[in-house]
Amino acid sequence: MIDILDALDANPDIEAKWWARAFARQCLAALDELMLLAPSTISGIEKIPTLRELAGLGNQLASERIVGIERLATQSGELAAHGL
Amino acid sequence: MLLRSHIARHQLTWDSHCWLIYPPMTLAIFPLSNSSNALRMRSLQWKHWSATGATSITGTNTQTLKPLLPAYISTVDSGNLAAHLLTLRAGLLELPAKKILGAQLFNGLNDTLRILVDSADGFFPERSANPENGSTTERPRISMQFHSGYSHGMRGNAWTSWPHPPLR
Repeated sequence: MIDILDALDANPDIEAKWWARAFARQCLAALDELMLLAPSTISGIEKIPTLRELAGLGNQLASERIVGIERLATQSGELAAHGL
Repeated sequence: MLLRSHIARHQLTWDSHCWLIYPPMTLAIFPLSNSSNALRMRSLQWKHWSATGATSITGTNTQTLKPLLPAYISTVDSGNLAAHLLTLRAGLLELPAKKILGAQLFNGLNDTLRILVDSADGFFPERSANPENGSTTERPRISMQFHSGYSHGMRGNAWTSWPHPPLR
């Protein structure tokens, strides 16, 4: 991808350059999320884990995120019930 | 539907207190006070109607967050928002059991790659001439594949031809 971007650099106006950068950005964002949540398994990963699976393996960040999600779900339900 | 799509795309973000920030609507949900489960929303002014116990939306100045005059309670918008919140709750509860990188991510990557290939088509010449001996060389093509690890439900997994950049 870097080679492709280098090649496109010769013509800064080409639309493909914008899309190439968008594509690279998407890949890096996914990689960041994977490394953040599952850094120990990043090298030998065979399947993409769920948050619950990661929490079961003792991943503290995954556990905290689940707690946060459940709290938000509770808040959403309470607020909806209040509005109704 | 909009909320669910954003949940699916993991476009919801959390700050350090795990409060919900919902970028498309600049929506923030957070505790109004420790003594109450009431919540407050920014941008869409969420009015706590103490006299009736109802929670409603009024037209709001998005800069000052003050109600627009004449003040009114939009029952339709209130109902819509309540329905959205119930949908949001259901979507949130599904998240822990979903893969941290969902199939929709790879679908998105495939879509972007296809557009990239389409927009780059014609940028690289089909043939390149060698000025030294006058011969021409066919543009080499390479293939890229995204494999998400999902055995079904994928729109992608496509082999995509990519015009190789000029050799240097």
